Parts: sequence; structure tokens; C-alpha cells
Amino acid sequence: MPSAYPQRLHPLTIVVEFLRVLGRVIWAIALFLYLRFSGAGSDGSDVIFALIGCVAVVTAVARYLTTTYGIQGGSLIVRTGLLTKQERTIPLDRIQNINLRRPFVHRLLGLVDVQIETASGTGVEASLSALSEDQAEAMRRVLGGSPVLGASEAPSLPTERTMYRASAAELFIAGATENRALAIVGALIGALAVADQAMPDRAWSGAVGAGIDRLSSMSTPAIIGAVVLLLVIGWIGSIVMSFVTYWNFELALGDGRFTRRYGLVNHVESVVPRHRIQLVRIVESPLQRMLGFCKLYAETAGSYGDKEVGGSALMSPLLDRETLPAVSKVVFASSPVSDIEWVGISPRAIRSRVQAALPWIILITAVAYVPFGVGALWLAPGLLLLSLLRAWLGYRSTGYSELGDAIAYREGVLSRTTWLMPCDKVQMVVMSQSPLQRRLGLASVTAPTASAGAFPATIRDLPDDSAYSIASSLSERSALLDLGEDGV
Amino acid sequence: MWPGIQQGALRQLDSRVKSLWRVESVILSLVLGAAALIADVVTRDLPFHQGIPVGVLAGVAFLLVLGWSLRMARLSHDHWVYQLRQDDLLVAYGVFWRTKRFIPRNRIQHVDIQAGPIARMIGIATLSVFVGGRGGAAASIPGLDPGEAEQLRLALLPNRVPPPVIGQEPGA
Repeated sequence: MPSAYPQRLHPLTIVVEFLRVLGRVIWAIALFLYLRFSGAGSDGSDVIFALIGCVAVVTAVARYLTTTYGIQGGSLIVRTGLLTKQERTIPLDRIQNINLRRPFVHRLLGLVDVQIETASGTGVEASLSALSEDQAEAMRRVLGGSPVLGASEAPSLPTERTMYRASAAELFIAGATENRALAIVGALIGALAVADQAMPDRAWSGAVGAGIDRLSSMSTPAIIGAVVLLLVIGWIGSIVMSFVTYWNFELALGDGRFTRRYGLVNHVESVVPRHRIQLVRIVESPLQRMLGFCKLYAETAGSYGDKEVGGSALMSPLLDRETLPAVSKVVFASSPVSDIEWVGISPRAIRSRVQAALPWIILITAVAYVPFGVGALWLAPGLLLLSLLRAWLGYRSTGYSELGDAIAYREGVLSRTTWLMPCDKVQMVVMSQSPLQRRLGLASVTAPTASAGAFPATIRDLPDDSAYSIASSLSERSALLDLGEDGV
Repeated sequence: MWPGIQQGALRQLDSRVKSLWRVESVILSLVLGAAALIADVVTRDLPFHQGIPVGVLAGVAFLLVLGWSLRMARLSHDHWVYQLRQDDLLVAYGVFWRTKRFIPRNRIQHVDIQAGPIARMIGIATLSVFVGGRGGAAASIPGLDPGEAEQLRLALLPNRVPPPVIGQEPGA
């Protein structure tokens, strides 16, 4: 059987590898070429060249001799390594993509670089470089038999339905209720200060300094008035930003793929395949919470083969909480969001968070003692009360719920974020306990999915027995559900 | 079902892994010690160096770190267990910071068995399990006897396709 284990790479791999090692140290070679031809250190550079050449040859030969691959028992096995030996086993039905690359040198020598990807979406799991055309073809035939491999998706969509279109009023409210005002003001002042430094002789030079001087010489109501004015400017800026960024926001669904189109200055058209959505995040700023609105983000997995990075996709800049269950059902057919019975975390979480804050309180008080003396000691009880309040509010606003085929989690005192993760997207479950948590009988549970964005939900400070049973049952539920279309 | 690896039994690492960890600690301490020594020599003429026996401090720190990590090897080994359950693999480790990882078996994308030069001399290997979406391993079990690692790999990736008969083309 041509692809049975063990097989070796093609001997000409040595040449390819040799050139590749040289390519990596091209800077050193260039440097020594320069030294050689400018007359300085011409004796040393010969030795250096020889040394580089020897190292490259030895590396290339070692790689050739120590790499074997082949199919055995329904899996692709690749063995590599001289000092650290590694044996990688990839079941054939986990292979998503086979790329055959023929860079210039490979083509000259009649070689192929075979790259094999699984569903991890972050790179190539096995790289066979380099094989002869026959070897590559044999591998492709054997690996290509797996049912998961398919042709690339059709470029155009025959039918597309517009699910949602943001009205001007919605964009206005979206901008008006975001937390951006302070950030915008801060950015403006920062930009002015930077411009001041960079270009000191322009019209706006000294504007920040002059502004601060004016401010400190004004009476208190005038200062308050000035601050309010700045905030209003920031607020208006936030509204304008929402309009410009999300102008004509439209969400369409066709053939299992969402398409988002928006933007006034920068027009964006982005496709989000539905099966790649790993979890859904609902975010509410404090004002939005009061008014009953929210934003919906879909977290997607990347795909190395399709050259997609994955990440966080905004599905709607402003959504009425009433319509949320229907929308989330469209985004992925999952349980409705509205009637979730939230379970709280352990009340000992308050103790845990206050205890975790103690070192910081002590540190801050100690640092403040130096310039301010004994008066700074009043800082400690004040900070303690503040952290107690924060911990209590945090405890009250955190909750989770084990729904039938998904897990929900929410947290956030001012801004609130709710995560919805279907069990079949959960890749693994991690239960962790810091030493402090262990003493209080608490634990945290994280359920990473394949999403490329940095948003796995961590349910912190659960009672440790609940944490274990939640983690264990989530893992079991996930194990009973089949993988999706992408093998993920 | 899988010879040697009983499903459901809590298994510990091979005790030889302590030797590996201790050797690694010694090497790391030597490297750090050398770096501290070099830093001491290099900064000898700088003003802040006067009056501070940097070399002695570095030496003491080196011995403390070394002693600590040698002691920790046994504790770490005692707190390392793994369990092959019906539908997932459970890995639990950590002396102060305790972590338990549950990896559903049908999420496993591929398995690596790896051994560095020292591990190979001692006679143990590390098995790493990869799932979808992550760049790195979902879980890594160090200190497995190579035969045990092989059996665990077989248990985690049950053969879905029967091995082909010699001389017959696959799919023919």
C-alpha cells in the first residue's frame, strides 16, 4: 500500500530544507557578504559562511532522516524530531483540508508541499514537505476519501432574505445609549495634547495647557458647566459615530449564511456562515438596560482553509429585548432567551472578591501614605467599603442557567453581558480553583468553544460541588452531540 | 474494552516523571544562576552595585528556588491524575492552583505523543490532546510510560476505519 506507515519524505527534501535554513539566516549572510566585500573582517567571514553552510546541511539531513509519515489504522501518523521526538496521530475523518503547495524551488525539483488541516482553524496540523508528485497524489487519494472534505462553497447566493434593517431612529438610540461619551472626550483631549507636542507652532498649540489654566481659574459652577458641556459633545459624537459606522445596517440570511452590510464612509460587507457561529453574546450598556435594548454579537470560529479569521460579528447594533428570543432562534436554533431561570453563584463569592482586593487596598494605602501621611490611612476603610459594594453588586448580577441544549451565563454590574453557548459547540470544559477559592470552597468553570474571539464565558465563584457537576454534565452533554458541518 | 486502560479508573502519572521535573528544575536553576552571575559581573562597576552582595543574593535565591522545585516535584506528582470516562477524558492537576479539564472524546481532533531527550533517557513520554478552535493542546499528560501512552492514544482515537489488507487499494 503506497501510503502505509512508515514512509519517508522525498530525498530532495534535503535540498529544500537546506535552502529554507539559509533563507532564515539571510540577514546574517547579507551582513557577512557586506563585510567581505568591504574588506573588513574578510578572514572571519569565510569561516562563518562555512559554519552556516554546515549547520544548514546537518539540519536538512537530520530533518529528512527523522521524519516519517503514513496511514495506519484509520489515522495519519507523522513522526518528527531529533532531540524531542513527536508522534502526531490524526484520524482520517478529522481531516478538513489538504493543500498542495508548489513554491518555486519545489516546482524546479518536482516536489510538492502537502499541508493537512483539521478543524482547529488555527493553522496546519501536519505538513509533509516535501513529497514527490506521486507520493502526494497517493496521499491525496487516501485522505480524499473522507466524507468531511468537500468542494469550496458556491460564490453567489441564489436566495437571500433580509432579516433586519436598522432604522435611523435605532442608530440614533444606539449611539445615544453607548458608553462612548467619555472615551470620545478623552480621545479628543489626548489628540490635542499629542498634536501640541508634535507640532508646537500651530494654531492649536498650547490649547490644552491654556484650557487647563482657564479651567482652574474658573468658579466651581463654571467648571461643572464645562464638564457637562464636554460630556454633551462626547454624547453627540457617539451618536454621529453610530450613524457613520452602521449606516444602513442590514442583516440578510441566505443559504445558511448571514451577510451584514453597513457603513457610510467605509462600506462593509461581511459573511458569517451560520454553522461557524459558536456562541452568541448579548451586551447591554447601562442606559440600554434601563430602556430595554441590547446588542447582539455572534462569535465565530476561524477557518484556516477558507482564510477566515473568525471573531466577533455584530449582528444588530440595537435590538429590542422583546424581539431577542426570536432573533436568537434565527441566529442559531437554540432555546429562547427570555424565560431563563437564572441560578446565582455562591454568596461566598463576595468574601472571595473582597479578600482578593485586600492586597491592593493595602498597597494603595501604603503608596498614598508616602506623600499624604496619616491622612491617607482613611483610604483603607473607604476602599474596603467600595470593594465590598462592588463584590456584592457583582454577586447579585451574576448568574447562569443550564438550558436543555445550551448553557447561559450573565454578568456585569453596570454593563451586562449574557453568553449563550449551545452544548454542541463546547469543545472542552475547564474547572479551576485558585488557592483562595479552594479555602472558601469555590471554583470557576470555563467552556471554550472554537470561537476565535477572546470571549469564553467563565462562571466564577460557584460552590465547588456545583462546579464539578456542571462541568462534568456539560462535558457529557457535549460528548453526546455530534460535531457540526465543519467538523467542529 | 481497551487492554491496560480500564475505563473509569483514576490513574496517576508514572513516578519517573518526578525525576524529569527535578532534572528540568536543576537545569533551569543553573541557567538562571549563570544569568545572575553574569549580571553581577557586568554590573560590578556601576554605582548601585556597591555595598550589595548581588552574587551572594543570587546564590541564595538560586538555592531556595532549587530546593523548592525539588520538593514540589513529589507534591505535583501526587496531585496529578487522569481518568478515561465513558464519554470524555478527565485530567486533574495542580498543588496550589487546582485545575480539572474535561475533554469530550468526540471533540478530539488529533493526539500527539512527545518526548524530549531527557524524557527519553528516563523512559517516559507526554501525550497531548487537541480539540477544535484552539492553537495549543486541550490537555497534556506528562510522565506516561510509552506503552501506556500508546494504549491511551488507541483508547482515545478508536479505529473508525479498519486497517487495509496488504496489497489492496483503499476504497477499491
